[in-house]
Amino acid sequence: MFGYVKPRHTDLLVKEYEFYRAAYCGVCRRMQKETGFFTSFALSYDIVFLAVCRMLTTDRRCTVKRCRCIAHPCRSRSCLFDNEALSYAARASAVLLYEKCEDDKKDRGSHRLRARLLLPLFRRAARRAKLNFLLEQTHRALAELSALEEERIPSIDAPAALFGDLLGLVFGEGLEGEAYDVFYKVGYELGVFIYAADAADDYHADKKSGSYNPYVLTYPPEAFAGGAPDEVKTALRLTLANLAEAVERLPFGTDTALENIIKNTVYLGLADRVELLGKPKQKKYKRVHPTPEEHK
Amino acid sequence: MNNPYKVLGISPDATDTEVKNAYRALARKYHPDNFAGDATSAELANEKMQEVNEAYEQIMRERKTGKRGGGTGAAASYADIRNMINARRMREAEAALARIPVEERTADWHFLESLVLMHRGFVNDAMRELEIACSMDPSNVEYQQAKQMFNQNAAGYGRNYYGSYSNQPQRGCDGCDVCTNLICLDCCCECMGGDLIPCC
Repeated sequence: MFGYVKPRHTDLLVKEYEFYRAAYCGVCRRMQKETGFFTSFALSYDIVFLAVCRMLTTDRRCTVKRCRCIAHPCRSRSCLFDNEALSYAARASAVLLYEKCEDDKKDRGSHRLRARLLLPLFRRAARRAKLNFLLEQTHRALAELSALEEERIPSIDAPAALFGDLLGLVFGEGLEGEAYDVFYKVGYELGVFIYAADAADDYHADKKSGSYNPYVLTYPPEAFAGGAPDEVKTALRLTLANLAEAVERLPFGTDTALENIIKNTVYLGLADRVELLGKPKQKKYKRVHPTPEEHK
Repeated sequence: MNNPYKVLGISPDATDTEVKNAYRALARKYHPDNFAGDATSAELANEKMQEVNEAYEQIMRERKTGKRGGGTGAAASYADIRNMINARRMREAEAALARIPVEERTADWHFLESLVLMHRGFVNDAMRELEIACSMDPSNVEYQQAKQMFNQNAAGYGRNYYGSYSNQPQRGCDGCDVCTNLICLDCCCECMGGDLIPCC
């Protein structure tokens, strides 16, 4: 996936930020253990968000230990252990990586070679993940999506809805009844957002390579010259408003740390991301302190 | 072949999401993983699974080409469609809108289509349809209001979020403001002719 779903860390409490980083390390470690050491290099913030959301459904207690790892050999970091959600996120990530790889293989362009090289690794990881049902269903959903992309329709909503459906599946897998519906909806809206945001970010690349991108078919290059045009941003904010509605229904209970991380991500992190859409990548995204008006 | 909707156990009016959910529930029920080690029931489940898959694919194909059963009813008036939308019967409204031929589509059509699309979460298409409606009939107040509402929704989301710690409920009185509150109460009493704290 794409790493769009991050909290605005300057607005988290220190303990929440620590917890978030520990969750990140926890998912990474589960990936190394359950789906293969090298798959952990493909860990993204989106998967960590999945883990944090799914923690709402599991026993909230988890152990924090200080550990070292190959990416940070000098300083030890806090790392979460013993939570079913971490393990689920790691395995779901393997499934998604495998399906994305299969999908990339069909594309033309530079991704194809990379996909071919990585495919055996991810195939093995997906098999080890032991989520057969999810694997079959995501495969079917992606097949529907690529069939629709073949038609090259100029509207983004239909393919985005299919991608949302796929992410909804991942968020809801293993849950039942109302919990499934709530988590499915969160995943769905998030998927719609990610698909549209990714298309807006890839505008220039897709224009060049000629691959399918609904925005290329609807907007002239001038509209995307200095970042995404206002209509695109407004539509994305409307999707975010839907997402916020879905997130409000999550079973937070009394856990303010998880609640804050999730709401911060949705209300602040993703809103920041919309502002940056379509602009060239900055080396490191730094945010200045919020102005007093924002603090209201 | 049997009616595919019967196989999935849903009505033909079900939304796409409902079709998907019904299909997935059945697919999970008959998944081969559930029958590991039991050859006869595994075979039965496999047959059932194929049937479910076929039914799902047929429904999806039909919906894509727009050949849904009952798609050729009499054309509904805009007022009827409006009522359907108000009653949240979105699939019906959508079908009714689709039956109106392209050349007869007025500004009202585009407006209602926009509402239906918005309800489905198709925000880009909804905004485009609303734009068309507004340009066809710029003096219509209802369209302008809807447009304003869209923009407000987009701009206003999360406006009042600043961490849930900042919007904890206000407590009545604590150690910091107990004296202030007493003095206020005393002032009130004095206004009414009484006195709470005699020394001030």
